[in-house]
Amino acid sequence: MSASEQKQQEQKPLEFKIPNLEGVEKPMKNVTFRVSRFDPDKDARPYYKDYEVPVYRFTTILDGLLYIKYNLDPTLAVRYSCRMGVCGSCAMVVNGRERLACKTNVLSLNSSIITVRPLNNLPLIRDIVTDLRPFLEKHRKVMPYTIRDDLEAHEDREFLQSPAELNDYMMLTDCIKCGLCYSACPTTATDELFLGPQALAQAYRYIVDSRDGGAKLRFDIVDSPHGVWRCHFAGACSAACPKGVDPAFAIQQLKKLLLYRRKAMENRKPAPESEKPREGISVEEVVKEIPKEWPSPPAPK
Amino acid sequence: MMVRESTIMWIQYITGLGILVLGALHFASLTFLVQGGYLEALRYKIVISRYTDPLWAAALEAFLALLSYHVFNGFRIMLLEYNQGSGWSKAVNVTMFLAALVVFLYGTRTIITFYLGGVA
Repeated sequence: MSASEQKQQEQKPLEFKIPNLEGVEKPMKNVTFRVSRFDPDKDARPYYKDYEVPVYRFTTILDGLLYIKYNLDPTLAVRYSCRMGVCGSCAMVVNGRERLACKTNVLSLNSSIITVRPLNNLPLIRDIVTDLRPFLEKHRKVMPYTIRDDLEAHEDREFLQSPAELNDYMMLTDCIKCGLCYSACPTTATDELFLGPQALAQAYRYIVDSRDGGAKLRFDIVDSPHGVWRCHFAGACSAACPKGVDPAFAIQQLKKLLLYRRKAMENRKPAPESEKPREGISVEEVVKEIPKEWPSPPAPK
Repeated sequence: MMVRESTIMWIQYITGLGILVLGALHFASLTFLVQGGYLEALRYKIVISRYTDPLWAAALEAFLALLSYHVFNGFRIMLLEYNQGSGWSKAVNVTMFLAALVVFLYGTRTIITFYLGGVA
């Protein structure tokens, strides 16, 4: 590509096509997106701005926001990544409820005005983008990884776990750390030191994991004045979760463990390792097999 | 020594249950346990007769102790959620402990006074 062509392409405004149906069918209707705007360099406080967005059958909130960004107002800041409800980047409050923008169909809201604002209980960076650090720091605080003394000694072995033991925490592994539960939690709204539903649920997830031996360390963290006992079981976290995780249940179970099974959990021996070394090829071997240059795709016919 | 939050909350739940039982007894003693109902129950002689009974006096003292703990720990929880900071936490903990102690001692004084026959 020549330099002039490249320059021309750079100057060309970005154009966003709403996926699927552009050119196939007409928009079902126009919807007003009332989006919270905030520029820390200019604005003293956030304000709402309205945009008209054409909506098709499968238009999501994220599609609508990207339509605004590329066609109406390029200054709009939106955080997103996978567009398929896996990464959790596009978490926001839509029409008063915590939702993933990429997973929420505009027409399903049955409203001609869609109000979009940033997550609650988190510092605002710009527009609808929040700073997730306080949330992730609390997640880190509960040590969300397997703790045991012999972890490094048995790198080539798997730790044995029955399907029933796996079932104890399986549901909680679906957490994508999007922050929707943290935003919905009424305790987090007033108590900024409260660990929050996500971190507490993950603490429970690792404590009940039969391969883990770190219950005592985690109990000391969650059994604190701003820990598990500040949950009033409003259940807003479980209602907000887009992945079907039930943090409210996990938190009540964690309270139960603290009251009735603390000693037993603290003294529990983590699951033994398999006698046989792990089968299959090692990571090093897999890396060796990766070609340095990927073959070009076939030319279109 | 720092008391674990789980211990504090365990006592909170137990005192809650105790308050339900003793509160019901207290309510009953002011209504249908007395012939003549509520109006008769508040007559001085009948009140004194309850306080001078060691079992009733002990039940009232226990009720007072449970209430003092449960109520002021409840306030403590609300205040800790209302604001944060180590200075605030210490102030709330100490104030609520002292308030509970004052209420308990003042109530105990009343119970003991009436147990000994009341005021002339």
